[in-house]
Amino acid sequence: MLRSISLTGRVKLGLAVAGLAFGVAAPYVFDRFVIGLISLALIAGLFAQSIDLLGGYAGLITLGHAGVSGTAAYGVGYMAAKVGAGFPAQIGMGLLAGMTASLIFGVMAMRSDGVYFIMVTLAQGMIVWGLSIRLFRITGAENGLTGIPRPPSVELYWQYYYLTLAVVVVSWILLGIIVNSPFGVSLKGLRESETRMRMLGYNTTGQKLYVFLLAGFFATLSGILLVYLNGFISPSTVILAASAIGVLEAILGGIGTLVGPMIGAFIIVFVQNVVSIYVARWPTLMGLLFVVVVLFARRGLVGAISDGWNRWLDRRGASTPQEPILTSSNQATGP
Amino acid sequence: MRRVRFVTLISIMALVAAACAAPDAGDDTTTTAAPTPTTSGSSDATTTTAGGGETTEPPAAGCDEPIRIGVLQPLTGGLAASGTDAKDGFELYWANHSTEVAGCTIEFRVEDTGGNPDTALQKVDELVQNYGAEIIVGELLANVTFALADRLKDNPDVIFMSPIGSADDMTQRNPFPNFIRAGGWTSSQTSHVLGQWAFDEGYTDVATMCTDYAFGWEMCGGFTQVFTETGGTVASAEQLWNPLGSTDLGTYVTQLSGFEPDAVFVLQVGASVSDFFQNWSDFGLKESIPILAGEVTADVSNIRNVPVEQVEGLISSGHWAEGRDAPETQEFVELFDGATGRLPSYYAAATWTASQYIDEAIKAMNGDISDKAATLETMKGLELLTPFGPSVLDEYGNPIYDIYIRQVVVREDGRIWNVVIDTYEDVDQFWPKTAEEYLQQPVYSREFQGNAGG
Repeated sequence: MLRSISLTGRVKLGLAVAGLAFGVAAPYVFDRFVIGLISLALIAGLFAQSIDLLGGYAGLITLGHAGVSGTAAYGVGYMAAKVGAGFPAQIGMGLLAGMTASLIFGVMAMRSDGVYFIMVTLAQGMIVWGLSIRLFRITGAENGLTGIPRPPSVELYWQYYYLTLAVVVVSWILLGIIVNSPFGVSLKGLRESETRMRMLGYNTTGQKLYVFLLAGFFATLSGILLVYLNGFISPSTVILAASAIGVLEAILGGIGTLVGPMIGAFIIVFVQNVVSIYVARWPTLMGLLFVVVVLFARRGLVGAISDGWNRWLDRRGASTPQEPILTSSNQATGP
Repeated sequence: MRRVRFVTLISIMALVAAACAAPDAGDDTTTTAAPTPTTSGSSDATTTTAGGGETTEPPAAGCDEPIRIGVLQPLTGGLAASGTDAKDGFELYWANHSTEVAGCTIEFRVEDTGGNPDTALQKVDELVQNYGAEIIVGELLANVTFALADRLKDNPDVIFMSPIGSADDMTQRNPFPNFIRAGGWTSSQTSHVLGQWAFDEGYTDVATMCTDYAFGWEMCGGFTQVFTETGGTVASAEQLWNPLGSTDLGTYVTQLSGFEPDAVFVLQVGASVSDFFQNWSDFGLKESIPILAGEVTADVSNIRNVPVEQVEGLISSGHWAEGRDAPETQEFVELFDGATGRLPSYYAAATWTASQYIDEAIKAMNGDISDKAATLETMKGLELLTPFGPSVLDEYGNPIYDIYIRQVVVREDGRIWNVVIDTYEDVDQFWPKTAEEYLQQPVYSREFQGNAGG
């Protein structure tokens, strides 16, 4: 049965299985600190993936996405810390707040594109930040909201890690289905040329709102996961830098792929939290990393690896022409 | 083409290597036990300030394991300068005092949070679980301090000290069991005193201009409440709030001069400080309207780079006054100046004092701090003479200090600092009220300034 899948497909499948096995086994191997880091990276990865759904697939770069995930997190935090409501109400409010923010922001942004889309979303993120430091009774202002316990049965760090892993894996599968669906393909059309898509009869404005809501949903999930991970929410979660880091993670890993943002998130979380223990000037290091990636791997790390892989396949294909699975890359062979 | 890439890559790697080597030879983030006293001119001061080094206590129980302290400060990002002051103050203490206390070795590690709660929460896990820290000395920002306190509150094996983060509610309406503010302060504690002083000076009508976030509300509220309850007037319409981080304050300054107040209470932070004083001078208001500054606005870390003539004579209140004429303050100031070439800000004095509390508490507990609740009680019972002056803690774990009315003067060497012109003794966080009375009102916010005039 495996024979029917291409070599690339088999490698991908192998990596996915290995990654999942690593994820499941991790709490038995690592201590609490590392598991905490992996949880944080998974959540950051989901956030970066939702940015990539907009930026990488639909060509709509957003600089205000932390406003959506942060609104969801504040929804949970408000119900927990200020109202004292139960967990269903907390999570319900988180989803409601996140999706309402997505809807409002989506309606505001759906008629713009390119650099104007970036400016509109930037402003949206700044509005959420501005409200977070001003609406003292709801957000606790600069002090943030404390006293947000995790739901029962996922209280311990490793239990919460498994919940995070499960949500991220399911979301990843859903995202995979979305980007490979006809709607996902139409998003790529939107990215390449909106006017042509409109000429073909697509309602591009509706498409943008739809994809904004979908991306908002996954950002909402990441916001809810984050607030329970930290037990805390403050304006630092919704500042411009939080949105920008998400975009940078997607670019670093490889925009327009789903695995890229996740890899980018792991690298950045690792640099921020582990490398910074040993290297005083870790921000310099991170900056250099970006420069190197942008100079030498314009499609991100995943893009660079997949280019290298295809070249290797071509060379291998040239020496062993009987391999039947190289149809897709054959045209690139030959002088 | 390949060669060009190769050369670029090599040069970038060289840059990375250069970036890795911290300016002071690698031990920037990770400092372990017994740092050699490299501080110039410190040797004579060591014997005078050490206090406990010469009292030969019996080796007592001693320690099998060193006592480990984790320090979390923002060493990168916008607050790096203040965070570095805090780090230097902490390290300076242990460079000038024995790290062998009551038979125990003191070890510590300073970690960078970047001012980000997410990172701080990861780092504190690492410090507590992997490094084995029993005492965490925490952050500068209110939100990061809250996040850390919340994370550590269920951990009975850790004491969390916050000598800088000053959000009122941490020792008032939202206390944490293993939290103590030794060496610290609450935001409104020092501006309460300035309200009283301003009224006693004969000011009756004061306008305010504060940064629009929790710290600004608390500083401003402290001044407004005491000043108006004493008999002064602050019209609500004359309370201006500028956004955090704004650097063009000209319009606000024009409005202030239009109110024609007797004086203006000002609380600005960071880059807004120098911008405010620039505008205030440009509009020619320095000679006509006196400024009463909140503590941080006149802190030496903020006015270091402001032209002398713009701030000379500036009045403020504070628990820290680097120009205070007392040996316990001046010894520390000289040590810090000698080691870093800067006059110490309150950030540096705060972490030094936190170290002093740790040192003395371990001595008093005879090296055994395994019972954290007892250690906290011991700390609360200590009466210390710190660079801030005499310090005791109230039952909430917040210091009771002498609060100083300070004035900026030019030193002989041309630098500026804050000297004491008036002292209010034994001021606690509720002064002049009692705790019961004070805790009935909500925490200061933009809506609630405690304004007696409404």
